[in-house]
Amino acid sequence: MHLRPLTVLVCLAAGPAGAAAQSSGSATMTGTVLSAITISGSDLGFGNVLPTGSKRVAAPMGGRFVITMAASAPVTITYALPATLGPGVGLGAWELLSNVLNDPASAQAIPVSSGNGSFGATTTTGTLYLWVGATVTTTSAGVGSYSRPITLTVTYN
Amino acid sequence: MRRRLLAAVLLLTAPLAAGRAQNIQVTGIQGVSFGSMLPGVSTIVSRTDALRAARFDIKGAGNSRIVELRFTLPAALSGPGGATLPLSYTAGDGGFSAEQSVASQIGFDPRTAYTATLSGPGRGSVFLGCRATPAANQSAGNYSATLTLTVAYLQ
Repeated sequence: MHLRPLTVLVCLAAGPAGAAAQSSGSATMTGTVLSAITISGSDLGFGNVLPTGSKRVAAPMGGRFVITMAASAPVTITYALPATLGPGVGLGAWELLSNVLNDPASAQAIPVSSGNGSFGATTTTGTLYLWVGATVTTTSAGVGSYSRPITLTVTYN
Repeated sequence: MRRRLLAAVLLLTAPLAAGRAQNIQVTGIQGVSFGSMLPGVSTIVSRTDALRAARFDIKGAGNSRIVELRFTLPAALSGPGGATLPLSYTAGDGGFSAEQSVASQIGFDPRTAYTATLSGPGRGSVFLGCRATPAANQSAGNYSATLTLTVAYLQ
């Protein structure tokens, strides 16, 4: 008996692989971390004042705050200005100047009054300078030293 | 006489399960957007926040097919100079809506696979919320990460 060679050619032509039974999609998560806000300040000093009298310290010659923050990020600056330094020692006629440059001469006046208030600000440089002045009025004030804090709170909007 | 028998067999495979289309598409519409963050202050984005939550749209076959949803969740955002900003997820941060509406989601844990039923026409949307926790000394700048959703038919 003689075996015959048998050649079988098998062609497998795969069609579209049944399309996808599984698929994925992606998206990008994003966020921006702003610079932390810092505030430093120097005192508003009136020096010696008579027991009864009045003395003004203009803002450019008064206290100064330096605020650093993210550039171009709007903030709200809340202030608390004392109405007195003590018995018979009143404070008023507050003055506030604002500038992105350390230059009170070219600063912008911000209307403020004794007590609490707020205003909006932004800076392209990341630094904001504030100068604060006021008038102290004494009425039979006792001899001594007086002080009260001026508080600024800065928050990103 | 030798005779050769040449047999050629041509098999053309038809698409698998020809009677049941398997196509499915997943499109990332938007990622989680944390916006501006402050160092040391956590920011939480809810999955119901239409503007800030991540959203993926699913376009599959009809007949209310059942699918498995599986997120590949980044553990952190990457930022300037190789800085990382940790992310975390909770059990209710994932949401599925067969109606494709942010207002009608069913919550699920995005950290594990979730089984969902597509709508009759084969549609659905998946939403994701997340918490970002910048460190107190977190470097300022822009951060990002890639979020991936994989959807597979279960039947």
